[in-house]
Amino acid sequence: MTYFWRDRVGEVHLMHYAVTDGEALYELVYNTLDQTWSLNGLHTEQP
Amino acid sequence: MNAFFASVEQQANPELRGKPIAVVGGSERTVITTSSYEARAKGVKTGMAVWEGKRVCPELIIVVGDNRKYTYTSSKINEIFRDYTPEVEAFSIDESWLDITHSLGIFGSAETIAYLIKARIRHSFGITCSIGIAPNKLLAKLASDMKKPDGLTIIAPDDVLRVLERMPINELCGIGKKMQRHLNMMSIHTCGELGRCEEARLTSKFGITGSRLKQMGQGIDHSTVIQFGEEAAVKSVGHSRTLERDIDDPAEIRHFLLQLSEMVGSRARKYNVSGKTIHLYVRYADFFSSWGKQTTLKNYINQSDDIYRASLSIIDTVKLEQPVRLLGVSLSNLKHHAEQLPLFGVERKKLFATQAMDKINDRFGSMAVTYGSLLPEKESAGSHVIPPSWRPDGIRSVDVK
Repeated sequence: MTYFWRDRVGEVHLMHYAVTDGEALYELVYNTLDQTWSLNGLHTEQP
Repeated sequence: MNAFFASVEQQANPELRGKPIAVVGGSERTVITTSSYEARAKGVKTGMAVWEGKRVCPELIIVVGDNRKYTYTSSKINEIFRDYTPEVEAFSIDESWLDITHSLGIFGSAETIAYLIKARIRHSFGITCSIGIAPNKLLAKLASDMKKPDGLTIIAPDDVLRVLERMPINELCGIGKKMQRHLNMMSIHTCGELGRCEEARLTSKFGITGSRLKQMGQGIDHSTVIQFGEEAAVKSVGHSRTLERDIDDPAEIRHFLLQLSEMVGSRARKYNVSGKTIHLYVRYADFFSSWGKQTTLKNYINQSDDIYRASLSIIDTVKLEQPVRLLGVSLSNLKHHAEQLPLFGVERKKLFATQAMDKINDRFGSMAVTYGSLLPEKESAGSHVIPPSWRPDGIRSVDVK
């Protein structure tokens, strides 16, 4: 994990985790209300 | 914080570390909000167009900023500050003043506190900051700007006049380019010269500000650190947004005005206030020219469509000279809105609909329910540039008559 931040949409708290496997950077988001994970973004060096 | 947005992005994405990067407000935006020190070393500056940045630094990596990361990090950093003193004033998203007068007995010295803060910020977020230690806010800000990145500068009380003697006046917080030009025309170029200038000469030119300028030149600043909750009460409710791209289409401008009016109205209703004066602010595509106009109504309003109509009545009186870069709407002349049911059915329905909409938006997030005309394909209007008024704890108080 490289970075963590939180924000809120209405009453829902979202926890954002930037994680990397060495090749790409993924933004995973945990929704504290639904208790679900989602992939919010993917960055790679190569197009 | 040093190159705050860029540093956060470099921490979030290790691939960017040690590389020249520039952060922009949105994917369509072409102006650089901030850049990493690696980019600055190659001549990239804040406010440059992306193409200019790429010209001076071809390997420049453009990153679209994510405000949620910055506001969260800033809030957490301000929490660290509060471990050392309750007297913390956030000046902007990446600058704060701390009054540690009463904490010295606990922590030993100002330097110890500074080193502890630097270490904790680096440990928690991997980013560096520059700290200035001085007898007052003016000098602390000056000191923090003297060594970047990762600096620690102390201006001791006995050293103030020596430091200021040859310091260019534009280094002082509060002296912008315009003021600098005026002072230069009076042959004042350094803080030493400003401090020695006769007060009458300064006041005859700048009025009451003249006395303050002389004090600034002498390193005198009596302003106190205003901690959260003790700020001057807010006298208006407003929103401004830099647009995703410069626009000149009147329909798009109206669309965006409606969006801003809804944001202002929703916040005014949340605070249970209404206002009589609507102020509209427009900044043009050239980044520098702008205007602001206001209108005062007979009645107090806080319904979004009323705010929108008042904003339209202002913009309709102006011929726009260039495409628009930024729009701002604010509601002032506020009073507490004692809830009163409208007499007529149509008005009452409108009030109930608005209340229902506000409740849903409070629960599911702003704009979860909004005007139909705001929905199609233009949801992402605005490049989400953080306004200077942003504070870690959000705006809590709204002043009313």
